[in-house]
Amino acid sequence: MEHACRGGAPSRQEADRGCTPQVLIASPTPAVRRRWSRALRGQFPVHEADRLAVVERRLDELHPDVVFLDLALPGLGGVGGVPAVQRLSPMARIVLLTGSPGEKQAVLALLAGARGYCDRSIGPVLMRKAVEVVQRGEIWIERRVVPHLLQQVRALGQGRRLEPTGSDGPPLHLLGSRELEIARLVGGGANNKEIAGSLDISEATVKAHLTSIFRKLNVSDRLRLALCVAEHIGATRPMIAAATPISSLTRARVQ
Amino acid sequence: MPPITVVVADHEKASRSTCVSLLQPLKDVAVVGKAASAPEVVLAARLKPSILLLDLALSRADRAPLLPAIRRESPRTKVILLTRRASEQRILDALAQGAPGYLEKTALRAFLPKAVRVVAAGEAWVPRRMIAKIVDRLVSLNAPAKGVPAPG
Repeated sequence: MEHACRGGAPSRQEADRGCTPQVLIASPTPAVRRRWSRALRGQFPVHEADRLAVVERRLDELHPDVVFLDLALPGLGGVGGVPAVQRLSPMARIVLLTGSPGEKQAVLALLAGARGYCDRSIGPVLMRKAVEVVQRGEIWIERRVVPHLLQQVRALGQGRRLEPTGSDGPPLHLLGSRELEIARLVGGGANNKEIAGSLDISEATVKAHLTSIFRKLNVSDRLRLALCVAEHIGATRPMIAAATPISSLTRARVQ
Repeated sequence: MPPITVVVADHEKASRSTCVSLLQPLKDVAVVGKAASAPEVVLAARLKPSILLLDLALSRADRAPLLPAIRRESPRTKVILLTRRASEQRILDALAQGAPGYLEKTALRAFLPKAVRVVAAGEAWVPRRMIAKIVDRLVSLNAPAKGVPAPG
């Protein structure tokens, strides 16, 4: 059956009928982009994006069918950023990639409009399977998420509404984009010196931002901040590849 | 490990017999009760079985919805609905009331023991294509407050 696959946004039905899907892999981490591209490019046209601004361009140029969106992308704001990305390309099927998949997060991801949510380090066979599954219109999540999904349906049916960012989660929307970046780096285990180097700012500035972050998220120390990040935003490795002792997380106070 | 206890609830005797015959030989599963009507189901739920196999038609037979009544009697009992050519809508409605799984009656022989064990272990027994429908329902239930359009 002849139909248009490229140029202009194809309808989801057209995509379902078997055109080879265009795939976009969006991650700030080169190794992640490389692994995904390598696994997929034999079978699908694959494009890459390393930051949100590029994601936006690619969505507009290509209208990719499947978008693998790394939750660690600076400025995305975690799962809550999905609707904004979706609006740029309503037919795109978004699969979120995370370092620490959790069932509750998976449900929130799906609520925000994602069609999949998985660990960014799955193997190549699963990567290809993910494209096929979401391209068919199905959902790409781990089986253990399904009971939680059903619980949510029940809860919502009873009138208990969920916000896409989780109404009892931390108020991440209060963080500015610089603060989000810093929070992610803390989640990745960076100390203040590494954060300063990564972002090309002074340590004093980092500390000032951290004071503000701690206050806004109501956490008392960087360990709790790291846990919060791991659960809700997605951590980023500091760009300076220094060995990071775990003790940097337990040095409790910002002074 | 104590066996997985099961109650079989269906109007149709043939259906009940099929389920029992498929489960009886299993060493890790014990059929502890049967029910043929809605009141019998509620009574059988008091046995607090791990699993309650419930014919979908039976669950809708009475005025009062059966699933909440089962949950009141035994909150930890997990219901697996048995369906016969049921519409997706009906299945979705029942899943939304708290059943963690359903099985087409034509698939009993192939899948009943596995479905019982999987659900008893805390997972759901739902075909993959149904998961997308569940997600769509979830999104549309959640959408109005945010004004987010449901996915196409």
